[in-house]
Amino acid sequence: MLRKFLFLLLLVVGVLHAEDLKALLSGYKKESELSNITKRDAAGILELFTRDDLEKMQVHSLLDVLEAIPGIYLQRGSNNLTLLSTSSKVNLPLTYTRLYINDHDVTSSSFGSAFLIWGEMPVEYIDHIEVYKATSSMEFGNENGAVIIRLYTKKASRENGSKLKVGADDFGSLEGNFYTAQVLDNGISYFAFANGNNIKRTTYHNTYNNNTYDYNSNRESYNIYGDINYKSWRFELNVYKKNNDGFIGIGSHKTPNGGGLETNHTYLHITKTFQNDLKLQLSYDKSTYNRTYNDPNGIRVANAPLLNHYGINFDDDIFAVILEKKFKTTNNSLLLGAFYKNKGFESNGDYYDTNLSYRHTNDDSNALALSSVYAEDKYNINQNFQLIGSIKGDFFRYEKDVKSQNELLARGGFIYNYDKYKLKAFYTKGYVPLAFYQIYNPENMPYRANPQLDTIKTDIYTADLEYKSNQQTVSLEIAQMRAKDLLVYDRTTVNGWKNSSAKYLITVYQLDYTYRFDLNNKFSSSFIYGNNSDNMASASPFNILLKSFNKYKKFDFYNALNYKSSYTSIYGSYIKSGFEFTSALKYHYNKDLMLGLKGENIFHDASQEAYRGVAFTIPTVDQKFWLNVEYLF
Amino acid sequence: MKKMLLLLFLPFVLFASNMQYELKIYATLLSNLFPNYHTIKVWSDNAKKSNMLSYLSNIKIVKDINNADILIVQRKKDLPKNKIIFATNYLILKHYKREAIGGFYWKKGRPNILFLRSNLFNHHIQLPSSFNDFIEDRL
Repeated sequence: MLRKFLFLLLLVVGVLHAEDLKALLSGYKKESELSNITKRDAAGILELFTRDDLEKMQVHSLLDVLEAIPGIYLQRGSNNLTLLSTSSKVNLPLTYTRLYINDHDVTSSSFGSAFLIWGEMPVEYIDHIEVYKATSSMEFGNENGAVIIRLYTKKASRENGSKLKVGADDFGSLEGNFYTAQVLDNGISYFAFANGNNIKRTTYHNTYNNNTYDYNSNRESYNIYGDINYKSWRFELNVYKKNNDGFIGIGSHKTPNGGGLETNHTYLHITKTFQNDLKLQLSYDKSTYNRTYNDPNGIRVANAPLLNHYGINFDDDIFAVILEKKFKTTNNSLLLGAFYKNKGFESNGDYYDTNLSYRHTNDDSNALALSSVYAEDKYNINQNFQLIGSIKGDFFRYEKDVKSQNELLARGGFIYNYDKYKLKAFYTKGYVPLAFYQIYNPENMPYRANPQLDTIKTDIYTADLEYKSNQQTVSLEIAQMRAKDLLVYDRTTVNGWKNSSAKYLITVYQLDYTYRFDLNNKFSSSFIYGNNSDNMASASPFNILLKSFNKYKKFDFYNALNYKSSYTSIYGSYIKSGFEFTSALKYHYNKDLMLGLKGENIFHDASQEAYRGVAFTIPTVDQKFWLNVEYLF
Repeated sequence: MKKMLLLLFLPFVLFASNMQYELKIYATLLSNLFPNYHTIKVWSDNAKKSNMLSYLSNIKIVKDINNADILIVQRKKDLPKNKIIFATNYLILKHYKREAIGGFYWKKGRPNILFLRSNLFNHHIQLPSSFNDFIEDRL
């Protein structure tokens, strides 16, 4: 006791000099990261990107973060859209990954996934990012998903100023953004952000009948975000507009000629927090998704003759109200919640061949009233042992044609702490939500839909053992998912999609080791192996991700090596192992002016992807070099 | 002696890690502002700050504002003249920029410590030269 006393006495009395203040401020900043407040230990296997991490990584878009998540692979669809997969298994169902900006689920009702629109969003207005793997969304009070990515915006009270950032890469891409935030005398605080970019990527070529066709995947986007806080009210407005090239497209011979995606999504989210732990949220989303494919050598869809133009437009309107109340006692924390969402969906299609000898148009609409009630309880048996249980009922009622469905989710588990060790184990019974495009299309043109489809049912088991000392963390995580009522696409049936009696099992093992040299320097390594009951790997089964975050005097460093093992794709091509090396260097000219240089996929040896009907494989990420300037004022 | 032990020990086990840093920062600032004081009398309109600082052995939290050596201020209010004011946020430092000696606040996404040279001079406060990086002519 006396030794402790003497040590602490020295600590209190010894900190008297200004030289220590800079180190203390640095420590205070690190320990005050907002991620320390928002992260939820009990929610699943968490990968956290703090503000300091994101700044050192010099991230431009969400893609830069998605490619640095251990065990989650960033992939690109043949139409240039962001997809995710996990070790050994090709793309996760679109509806099974959810993206939140603060408390707002930016999910399109027609696709059931936010990543198709928001996957490449700018993240300069984001403070930190939490990625929960093998989770359920009950504690977030929203729709079900096994991978949940939560983005938290910067807070006005911490900014009280403005920032300008501009960047350019060696392809000629340009990006610029600006934000400003202020706390005003009258108690109002605001944060406003605007971003514009024109991103250029490698063009690939395909030759067919002596003609060359380009696979372009450039994009242009604009994003405006505003956040106003007054007393217990919060108003958020987010507008995102993007145009993407069509990349490979869906033609029979993969010979695209123009086409692409024009999309925009706007939402308003209002949050009112009452004094007695009652939270009310209202939101409205409007999104438009306009997709065009042009291929002079034919596009084959449904039973139509060979097409040359395929155009489809989806308009979604989503209104949501969410009510939650917390009850807390010394050892117990109970959350009760309910939400109601009305999701309107409209689609307009136009399909024809070059001579207009065939033309088909359609115009459909439907709506879903989704209501949900949920409860979650956390009970501390003692200081070290916490039990967690949650239950949720989701009730799907469609305006017409599609059958009603009721779904039950349940989750139970515990967290046990012993000295420097922590053991977490959970079981989650859930389902994979269906997207409109799978269940509603009365004409079954251009794609087939089955209104009688059932959801895939899942059982997820996770166990996580962690050892943490002041400088080191070692953890072993095992997640296993069993799925039944799988969806299969059967070309011989009128409605295409149907449930199969087959079952599926996937198991992912992850070993992590992190060493923190000090507050500003750390090294992390993740080793992931996945296998599945198909006994075939449709994505790399083995992944190693090494990351280091460092600071030396006026320089910040970020280095990452992402290794993905070889495998044979579902199209039969051999995908060789990939080494993606990313490095970022930032120079702090002074406290307010920073110059950054970032190299992505520096050795040009990143993992590649195979596409149906394409004779060669294509890297998911380009070899790129960015130059950035950041100025705070 | 037991009480003293408790006072010194508690801050580092009771508080979250960021508050431990905050406490050490305030301990450093106050010790250098009042190097010859055996006990520094602090008044604050921020209950959390008062509570936190009360764990420092050389700090006494006072309720009577006129009795205080320094006012650690979070909100605008009528303050007695000639008292040493220290702000806990940027807005309040801007408001009291003619009177306050400085502040510890968040701005540009980072915590800042800033002392205003003229106001330090008016209160005859001489900080060690090692504090020069934190002293500015204006806000």
